[in-house]
Amino acid sequence: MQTFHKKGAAKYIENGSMLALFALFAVFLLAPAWFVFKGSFENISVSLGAASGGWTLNNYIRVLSDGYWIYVINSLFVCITATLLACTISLFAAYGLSRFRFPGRMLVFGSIMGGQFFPWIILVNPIFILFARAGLINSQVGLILCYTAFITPFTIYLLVGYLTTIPRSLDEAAIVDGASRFFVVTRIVLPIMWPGMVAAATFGFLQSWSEYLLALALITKDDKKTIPLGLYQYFGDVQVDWGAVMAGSVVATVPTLLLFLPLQRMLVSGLTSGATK
Amino acid sequence: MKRTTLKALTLSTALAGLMAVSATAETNITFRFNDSEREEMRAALDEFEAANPDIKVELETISWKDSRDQFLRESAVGQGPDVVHIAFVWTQEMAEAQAVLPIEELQEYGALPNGFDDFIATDLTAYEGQHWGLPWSADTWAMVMRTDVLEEAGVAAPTTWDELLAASRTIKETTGKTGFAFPAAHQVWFPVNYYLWSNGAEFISADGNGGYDIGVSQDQLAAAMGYFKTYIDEGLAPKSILSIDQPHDPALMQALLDGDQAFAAMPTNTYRQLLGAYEETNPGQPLPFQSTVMMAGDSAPLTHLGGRTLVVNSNTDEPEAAWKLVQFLASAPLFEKYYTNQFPAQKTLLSQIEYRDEEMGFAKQLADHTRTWGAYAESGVGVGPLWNVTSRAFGTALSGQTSLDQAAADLLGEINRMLDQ
Amino acid sequence: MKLSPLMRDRMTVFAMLFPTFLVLVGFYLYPTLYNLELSFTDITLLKLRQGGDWVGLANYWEFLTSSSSFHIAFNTIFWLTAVSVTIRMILGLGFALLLNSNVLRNMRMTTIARLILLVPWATPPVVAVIAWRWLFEPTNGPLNRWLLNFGLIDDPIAFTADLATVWPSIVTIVVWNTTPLIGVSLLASLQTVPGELYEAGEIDGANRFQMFRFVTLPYLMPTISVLTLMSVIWTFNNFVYVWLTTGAGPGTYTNVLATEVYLKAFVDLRIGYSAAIGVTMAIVMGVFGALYFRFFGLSDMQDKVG
Repeated sequence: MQTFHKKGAAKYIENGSMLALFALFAVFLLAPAWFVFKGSFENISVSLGAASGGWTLNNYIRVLSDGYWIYVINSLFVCITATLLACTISLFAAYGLSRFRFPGRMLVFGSIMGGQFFPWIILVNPIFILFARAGLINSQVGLILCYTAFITPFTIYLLVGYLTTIPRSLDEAAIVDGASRFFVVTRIVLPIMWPGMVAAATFGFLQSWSEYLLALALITKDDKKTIPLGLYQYFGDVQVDWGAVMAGSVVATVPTLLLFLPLQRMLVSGLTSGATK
Repeated sequence: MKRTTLKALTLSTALAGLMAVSATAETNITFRFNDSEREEMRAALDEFEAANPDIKVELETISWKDSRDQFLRESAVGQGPDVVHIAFVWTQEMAEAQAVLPIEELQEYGALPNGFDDFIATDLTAYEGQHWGLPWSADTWAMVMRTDVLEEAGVAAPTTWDELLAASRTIKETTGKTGFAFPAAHQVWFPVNYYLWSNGAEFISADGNGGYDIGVSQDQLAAAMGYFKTYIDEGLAPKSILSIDQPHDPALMQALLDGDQAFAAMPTNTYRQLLGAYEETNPGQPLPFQSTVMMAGDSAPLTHLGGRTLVVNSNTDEPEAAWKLVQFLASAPLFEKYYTNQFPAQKTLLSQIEYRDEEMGFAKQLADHTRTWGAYAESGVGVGPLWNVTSRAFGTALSGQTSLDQAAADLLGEINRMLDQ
Repeated sequence: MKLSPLMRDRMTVFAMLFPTFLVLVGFYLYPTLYNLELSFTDITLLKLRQGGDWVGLANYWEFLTSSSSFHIAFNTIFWLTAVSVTIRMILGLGFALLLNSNVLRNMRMTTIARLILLVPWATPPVVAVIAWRWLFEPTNGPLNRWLLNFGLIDDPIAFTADLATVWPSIVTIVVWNTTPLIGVSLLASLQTVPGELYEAGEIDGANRFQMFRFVTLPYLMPTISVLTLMSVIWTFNNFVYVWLTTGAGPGTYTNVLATEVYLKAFVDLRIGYSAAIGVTMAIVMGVFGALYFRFFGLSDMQDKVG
């Protein structure tokens, strides 16, 4: 499109309108987050009748002294563990699915696809009953297992896609040299497919980070609750503590933002080659 | 656990093993308490623990809207807290689900000071010949008025639903302010029932032969929907009330505080919060609030006798400690020192309450103008399910999603289905 | 004993897939079968201990013939899924094209744009709903205050309570939260379009629209089709956006399948009935997936598995 030369005025109008469009997009995308960020430092009639207006750190102080940081730690622990677990399981599964031919292969792949189609909400009761019998209520192990299962289908799907971009000859050469499959997966394939792993891990992390329904059913103890539960406590029955909700929201978003920031490029390449190849 | 400190967490992880050993001598129970007075309740529990050094009570909270199904699920699989704070109207359900222990059995661990008969609304806890919960706090709704707005608009305090509507119109015309506004989502259930009751109708009534029937005609129901819809259609109340669940919603409370709204219907503890908030922002000022009994229709005004029950989980390993806690929670000092926004559900304690002048409407309402849910619960339909279908049906009618007649017919169909089961 | 290479491969595959197998059986197959069983009973939360009675297909019949099922299906398919996915695909594509244009590329806007996209993308849906509920708030919300200040409206709009605005509000939240993923992915694809394709187009004298229609779009099509599929699945099954924004209200106006499952199971306590709705949902998604692959993605899928 380089060669579309235009007369000055027309070009200025075109450039200007494109910039304006871009600005409009930017406002739409940033404004909600900005208002939450701003609101988290404002006095927003917290208790009825309290003075409104002015800047304050009280929202953060209130949220954190209320034990919110325990939810942050719980969420970090549960989500990171589940993500690592899911990625490990998926790496081997994806490798097996992409490099071997065996009976039932389409069935396995089909079930994995089916797993993504699945309305998780209908499994809350069965899983609750199952977990209660196994003593996994109010247990982080239970939540980790659930989240691992929850994110595994998509991570496998992404990784299978990504593996098709890695030439088979690479691992076959190593096999001929006498390397074990385990060695091939962990030492040869894994280093090449980091972008895919990062994409899969980020998606898994984000999905479990904001999961609300299973946590609601499985966790009732305050010291085991995760961020989404903690956040919605401030949307209490009594009143909506907007200041606390917004401070809590900022705290809930910062980890994912920090995670995305350095990984973004890897994420995009992992995603596009994984999901669309 | 809400107020867990950094120290507590590091300690609990580091000393987990140690504590497990030292904990064998003491009894640990969990109390699920869902009101907002968590700090006050923790202080009360500290007092209880000091008096019973061998019992440690953990306080946990989940939101009221998740609380019913969560406890039912937990109890069905042998889990859950030992003592649970539930609504009056859930008690029979919990008994049916075999989730709770009968009071008759628990009283073997220690008698209640004035006996079980001193408690009010015990019929709501009865199921198959036994009682399954201890009525803890009692409340009802009454009307709250902002007297200065009434003066400004030159209207007299209304006593009937029609007068309330007329007064709201006058207030809108003369001052531009809101007259009566109400939560039109989940808890529209309450004003709707008050309206029907004061007009001689009810959703379910006993037919006198031991059976139950629908006690409201489609026209009556559509008229009730129409009455509340008028406030929204004529702009007498803001449209946003359609998504407001509860009377203590900040939008409603703020309007009352700021003098932008004249009338509201609410429970006692909400009114006390409102008065407290006004005193906080206007120290030393006379209170421009007055409470009166609920509006009347063709017949006298009626509101529900509501409240909260304490139940003991049937899965508890420590019924004795749990009962000790229940006894403590039902004692007079708790209501005097810690749980001050609530009325105790005991005749002796209720008779000792001194009401403030502004609260006389609530006192009168509670004394002379309440009824129980009666046939709603006895018919086996249950207040909870009826409440859910009703607030949804009123939501569809008030928002204009369906016509009044259609919404009324759908609701009656739902109630019929529930009666059949 | 020496195993044949084939047997050794089979053992390896088995070992590699075994954890996945456990996950699929333990967390998908078993609960699903259990759920299927529940859907043929009248079990409620109150009867969880005793178990329910077999009622055959009564739950399915009741759901499919109930007066609200059409409304719920329409909300789910049209508003929640079709509208929100269409808007997000168009906006995502528009944003990607804009960023890939020479104007913005020359101004080195791409990096800034990526950072901007990152914000809604990294925002958990729970927080996204909170942010927008605050914007939409009738009394203090920034959007109403802004509209009032500029004199565009006389009275605050109750965005999530008014039938006219409630669905557009929910769709806005979904679009805001999910468009960045589409935009970023399409931008990445756009940047890989080989230059020769455009050169060939220029030689043929194609105008800008034709260039887009016959060069860019076909090249992006595989990406678009996969992103659409993923978006449809995620959105169709999504519970959080509707539930946390409106709780399926006002009334039942914004009720969708996922919230109906929740309402019936956890509010009305009818687990059996709710399970039947869930099974119906799973069947609908299964049929959709099968059709989609049949018509759009079969070759794609075969490529992948190979």
